[in-house]
This record gives sequence, structure tokens and C-alpha cells, in this order.
Amino acid sequence: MRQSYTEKLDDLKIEVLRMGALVEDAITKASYSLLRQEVSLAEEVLRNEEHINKYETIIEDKCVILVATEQPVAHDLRLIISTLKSIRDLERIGDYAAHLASIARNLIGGNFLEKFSLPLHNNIKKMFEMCVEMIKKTMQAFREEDAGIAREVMEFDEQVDSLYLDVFKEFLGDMKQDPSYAHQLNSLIFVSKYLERLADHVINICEEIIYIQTGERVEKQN
Amino acid sequence: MNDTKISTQNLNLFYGDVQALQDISFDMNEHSVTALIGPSGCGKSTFLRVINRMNDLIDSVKITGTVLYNGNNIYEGSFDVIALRKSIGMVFQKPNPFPMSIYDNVAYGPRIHGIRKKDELDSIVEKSIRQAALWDEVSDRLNTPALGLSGGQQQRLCIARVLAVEPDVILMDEPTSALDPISTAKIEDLINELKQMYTIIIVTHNMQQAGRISDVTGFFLNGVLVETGPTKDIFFNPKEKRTEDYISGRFG
Ligand SMILES: Nc1ncnc2c1ncn2[C@@H]1O[C@H](COP(=O)(O)OP(=O)(O)O)[C@@H](O)[C@H]1O
Ligand SMILES: [Mg+2]
Repeated sequence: MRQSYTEKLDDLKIEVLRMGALVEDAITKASYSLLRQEVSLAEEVLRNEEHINKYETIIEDKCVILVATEQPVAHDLRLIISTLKSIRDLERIGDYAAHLASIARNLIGGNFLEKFSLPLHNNIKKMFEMCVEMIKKTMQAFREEDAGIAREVMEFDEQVDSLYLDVFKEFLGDMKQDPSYAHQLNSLIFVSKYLERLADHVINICEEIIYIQTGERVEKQN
Repeated sequence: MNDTKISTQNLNLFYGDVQALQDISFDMNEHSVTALIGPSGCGKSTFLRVINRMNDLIDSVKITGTVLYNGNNIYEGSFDVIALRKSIGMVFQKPNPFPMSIYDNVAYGPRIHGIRKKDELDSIVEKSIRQAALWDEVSDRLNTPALGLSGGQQQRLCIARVLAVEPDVILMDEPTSALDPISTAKIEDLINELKQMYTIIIVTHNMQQAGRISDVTGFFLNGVLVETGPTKDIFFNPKEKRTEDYISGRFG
């Protein structure tokens, strides 16, 4: 029954998953471009940003048409409303990936990574890995509509926040050691700040996934 | 405000050997609109007819369980069925005005109940037609045949006819399914007005209509009341998968 309607909803989910895959790819490449000093990856991320933005418009239009023509209710309505909200978060995550890529592009060349203390280097790397993992799991949770996985991802939030604080402390230490790298170190602070913000947007999507499955709003925690 | 007006408890209904309603316990509140939804043949009309004992007219019907109206069991031997049908009026799917004038249609019930004085009837007729949001359209032709009205006007006339005997509960069985969207919207507005004074129980096949006008929704399936709850919960987050499948049109 209502086969074309069901297909349209499936199609909507697939589009969100495609957008999510692009976003995940962008963060991964932004991370490699910085940590492995590969400028071509940074440029690829910057080129693809427009692509991610286009998905947002396409998906939004699909949602509007579904609401206008199919009178969705219950789970289907929650899926559409939460999709509308989640694609804004995905788009923002895409923006952060682009910011990260452009920082990476600016930093490449000076062998500056060698100048960082090992803990700083490692923690930035960990933040990247954690964010990529969070997005990957979030998209899995969205695909399977699994509130349990979404809740697991939300547990990462504190870890990302505490990594950010660690990075900040290490940054101050490194800064004292060699102030001639102040500019690069500053950029790294932005990198970790962006990753911390990015994780917040991932958490927003997880809240929506829980809402789709259960109809219950997750208490916002600060 | 949330007093129970009608309550069924473990209600079963059989047409001969065939059970059409199974163990239905459902409280319907005063001054609210209760929508009954469900696929054709699942027992909605049968349930509605239980409430004003219209099923009594069908020989093969057997009923067990309890149906309370204002706390009194309407199936008790001593219960006054005539008074019950006056208190609990019914509007049907197809507008069914009598082949007489608009005025006489509305005056019909009050006349049966013994009101004869012209000025008294005049005022009941005007009040009822106004309440049914039809006055502006028919006040200058009350003595013309009711069958000359449009379908939507005829349905509002049937509602006026019910209101004229000062009921307490109004049962409506798919009252807008034969009407165009504008007439439907008028009836829906009217239902919204009427619930201030009456208790309304409405069967509808139109999910959006149930969502728009009702406070509580009950979902019937094969003679079973699967789920009841505040309409916003039923349409936004129903508990039962069968309800979800039905309201999102994925049934069958
Ligand atoms: N007068 C009757 N005699 C025998 N069976 C009936 C009668 N009226 C309805 N039924 C049966 O009872 C079931 C419920 O019918 P009904 O209450 O009209 O359902 P709904 O209003 O939900 O479409 C159906 O199977 C129908 O065939
Ligand atoms: Mg029926």
C-alpha cells in the first residue's frame, strides 16, 4: 500500500545518507590534508563544499513536497521534520570541514607539524578520529533508525570537549616554548575549536534520530 | 470539563453468530469531539448505533457488556429509549432531509415532542438553523423545499434538525464524506462550535479531518478497539504499529 509514498520516504533517507557520506568524506580528507600535509586533499574538500550545500536544497525541497502532497503523520512526519533539521547540521559540518581544509592549505609547507609537542599533535589527531567516527556512527544510526547507537554517539561529546581543553593547555605550553610559531599554533586552536563545534552538530543529529524513533525529545544538556 | 459522558465497558455485539464488536471499553468525554477511525466494516457504525440503541431495530443483534450514559446503563430494562434518542441525536453520511420545507424539517422533532405554539416553534427553528451556521443562507426561504438546498446545506439542515430537539450528544457517521471541501470545512467549523455545548462522536474516513477536529481518537480494526488516546498522540506518536500503519495509509 502507498508504494510510491514509501519509496519517496526511502529515497529521502538515501539522499540524507549520501549527504552524510560526503560530509564524512570531507572531514576525513580535511584531517589527512592537515596531518599528512597533502594539499590536494584540502583542495578537494573545498571544491566539494558546494556539492554538500546543493544536497541541502535538494533534500529540503523533497521534504516540502512530501508534506504538501502526502500528508505524512506519526513516524513519517517525524522523519521529515527531523530530516529538515538534520540537513542544516550536516551542512554546517560541511562548512567546518571546509574551514579545516583551508587552514590545512595555509599551514602546509612549513614542516610546522614537527614543531608541535607530541601530545598536541596526538590530541588533534584523536579529535579528528573521534569526529569522523561520530559521523560514521550517526549515519548508521540514521539509516537503521537506531536510537541506541545515537545515544552511544552522544557519549562522545564529553570526550571531545575534554580533548579540546587538553589541546588548549598544550597550546599554551607550546607557545611558551617557541613563540615564533604563534601563527601556526593559533591556527591549531581554531582546528580544535571547529572540531568541538562540529561534534555538537553531530550530537544535534543524534537527538533527531532518537526523536524519529521514539517521538521523545532529548533533554538538551550543556 | 473532562467528565465521562458515554462509557462502554466490555461491550460485545453480535449480528446473529457473527461478532461485530469485541470487548470494547471506551470512555468518551463531555464537551469534546471523539473521532472513530478504521477501515470499512470494522464496526464503527455499529458502535455508534450502540450508543443510542439504534441496533434495537435489527432483530439478530445481541449485546453484552455495559453502556453508560451519564452513569446510567442504557441497556437496563427500565431505561427510557425514547428519551435516550432525543438526548442522543444522529447525523448520517448522506444528508437525508424530509421531503418538506426547510422550516418543517427543523420543526419536525419539536412537534413530535409536543410543541405546537407557532412563536415557540419559530424561535426553535431560527435558533437551531443559526446554530447550524445555515441561517444567513436560508432565512429568506424557510418555506421552500429542503431538497432544493445544496448537499452541504442539506447536511447542515440535518444538524439543525438534530439540534432542534435539544440533544446532549450528537453522533455523526461520516457526515462530510458526500460533501465538497468547502461544505466540509463549514461542517468542521460547526463541529468545533458545537462541542462547547454538546458531546460529539464522529466516524470519519478522512484522517486529516480526525486530526483537525477531534480531541480524542479511537482506532477500530475488525471489531476491536486497538488504541485510543489524545488525537495529537495518535497522529504523532501512536503506541500500536497497527494504528501507525493505518493512519499513514500503509494498510492492507
Ligand atoms: N444489519 C446488519 N446485519 C448483519 N451484519 C451487519 C449489519 N450491519 C453491519 N454488519 C456487519 O458488521 C460489521 C461492521 O459493520 P459496520 O459497523 O457498518 O462497519 P463500519 O461502519 O466500520 O464500516 C461488518 O462486517 C458488517 O458487514
Ligand atoms: Mg460505517
